[in-house]
Amino acid sequence: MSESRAFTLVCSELEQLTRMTRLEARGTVRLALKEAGLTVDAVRNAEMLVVLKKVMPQELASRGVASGEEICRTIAAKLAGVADSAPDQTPEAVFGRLAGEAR
Amino acid sequence: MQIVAALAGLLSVVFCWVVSVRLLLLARRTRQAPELLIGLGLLLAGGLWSPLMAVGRQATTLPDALRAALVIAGALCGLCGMSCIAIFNWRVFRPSGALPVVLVLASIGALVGIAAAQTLGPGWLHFAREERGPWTNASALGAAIYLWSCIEAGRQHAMLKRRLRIGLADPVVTDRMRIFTLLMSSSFFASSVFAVFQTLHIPVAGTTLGLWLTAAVSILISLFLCLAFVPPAGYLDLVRRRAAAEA
Repeated sequence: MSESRAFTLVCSELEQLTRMTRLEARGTVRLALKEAGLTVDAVRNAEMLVVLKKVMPQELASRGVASGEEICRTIAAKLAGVADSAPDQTPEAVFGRLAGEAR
Repeated sequence: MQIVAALAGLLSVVFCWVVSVRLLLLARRTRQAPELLIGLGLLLAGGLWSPLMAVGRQATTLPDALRAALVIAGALCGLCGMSCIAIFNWRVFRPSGALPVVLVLASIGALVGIAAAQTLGPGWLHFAREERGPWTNASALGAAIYLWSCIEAGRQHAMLKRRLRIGLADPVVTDRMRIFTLLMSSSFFASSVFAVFQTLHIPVAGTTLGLWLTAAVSILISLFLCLAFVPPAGYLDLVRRRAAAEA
């Protein structure tokens, strides 16, 4: 399965900013995404920013990582400058159209 | 009871036509494959397959050639419609990976296979008269495709509910996914029941049980089609208000 650029960046930043190993960082982000109802391959930057704000700080705290909110803010700032790579044609986007006006 | 079942069946067929035409018009405007696939799937499998088969099977006063032609047309609609729904599952829910492609090819291959076996074996007039032959397995194949839709849509709905909690999903789209799951579950249930009866060679068309089943499932399918694809404004307000209250 291919992974989105947002996922790759957040994992690598988390690895650098904490004492987590690559595997631990990726596992933590995967769990945060699962908690948020998102997937590694389809998560978009805007969605990842919300995860960093609302889900990730608790995930980091539960793993004993100090100043999780600050770490998340730092990662979010880096993510803001990255181009989106996730697909546009998600099930949510398709179902958002299906009751649209049929002109 | 016969009149209630006939009216309920007619209602669901008309709803299928209305919804599928809306989806096809939407596809013409957006030029996107998903709305085209689900529009064709609903029109062919939901709106034409059963009525053509019912007339071909039960209108015994029609000439044999016409009855055979009607069930052939019905089978073609069933084959193309169910194929569209299988491709929709693949393209919308599982666009990457080899397994969904295998599932789609297997579904279409099996449908083509039983249609060819019916043509080369007992023939379509035999099906129109006796409802016997390889094509009787079409209900079971349809049930399998509906089950696939149901599982995928249910999974997506569970994910959307999680997203909704952190403000990442639209409550209306989340609810539409729930209704679509219920629509596919009803279709799966109806197809499975008819498949079991056909496999056991128990006549169900026209019986009291068959009429009750037809009426109940038709009413449910009409309701779900309406709420998923042409939702009334009042219903959408209710969904939004409920989501706001839960937030």
